[in-house]
Amino acid sequence: MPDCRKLLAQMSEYIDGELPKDLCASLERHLADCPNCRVMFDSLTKTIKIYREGKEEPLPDELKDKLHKALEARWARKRRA
Amino acid sequence: MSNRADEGRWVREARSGDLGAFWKLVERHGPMVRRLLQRLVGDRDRADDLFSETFMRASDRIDQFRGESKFSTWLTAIAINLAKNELKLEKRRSTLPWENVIPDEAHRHGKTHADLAEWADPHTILEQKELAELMERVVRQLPPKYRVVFVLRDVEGLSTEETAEALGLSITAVKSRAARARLALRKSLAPALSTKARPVTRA
Ligand SMILES: [Zn+2]
Repeated sequence: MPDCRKLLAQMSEYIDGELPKDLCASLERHLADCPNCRVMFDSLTKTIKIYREGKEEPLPDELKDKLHKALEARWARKRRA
Repeated sequence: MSNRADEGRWVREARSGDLGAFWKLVERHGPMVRRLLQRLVGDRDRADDLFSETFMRASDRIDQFRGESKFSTWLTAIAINLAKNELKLEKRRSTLPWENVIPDEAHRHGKTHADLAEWADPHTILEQKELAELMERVVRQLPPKYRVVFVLRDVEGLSTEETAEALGLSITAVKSRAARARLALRKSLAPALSTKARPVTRA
């Protein structure tokens, strides 16, 4: 009986393309054969994908103003020094 | 790449006292730094304080940036250092054993497991805003030492090597923590995203 648990540990490296070739082949064979691991693999891939796709929000004006003022003060002091 | 060339010029100009040039660096990398801190510390106000501190420190130390790494990597390292106290990375013992991150019976070959329904495309199940909130909430539930690896690796897109370097961890540790963090998140998202999930009711 294949050890699904061990393969789950390898899935992450497989997704990153960092799993050694021979292990890739045995993982792929197992996925073809095991519906549970296939669902795990698919949902794990989707989990990573939605986070990677996430967008950054633009900086709020208030935060930018605050930082700009603080930097101006600091840089004025730097120039005098 | 011209992006990198711009940056080199901005850094040089900032070093010679041009705040306008430094501000260009803030505008280019600010959104990334802010999201990183929001994901790491959770509390948005605290994240914004740390955001300002990160750029103040970067401005104080701009002379120390030698251009050996990317400017974004350098900023990331400053931000993580500032967030470290918040995260209590060293003190917190909380771990994620395999048993907690995979469905109980997933390893039983050939048996169908009730929790293992196919996932639909998340964007068809949830509104963008709901999905974003759910994603943020489940990341915050990860123990800090896994959260920080996941955020650098999968939210900010650093490589395994860059993540290891930024955190002073071995490659093996990064891989193992990333794997557990991802499985834990998968498990937390499953109730909302699997095809067996009940449709979300909206107020
Ligand atoms: Zn399996």
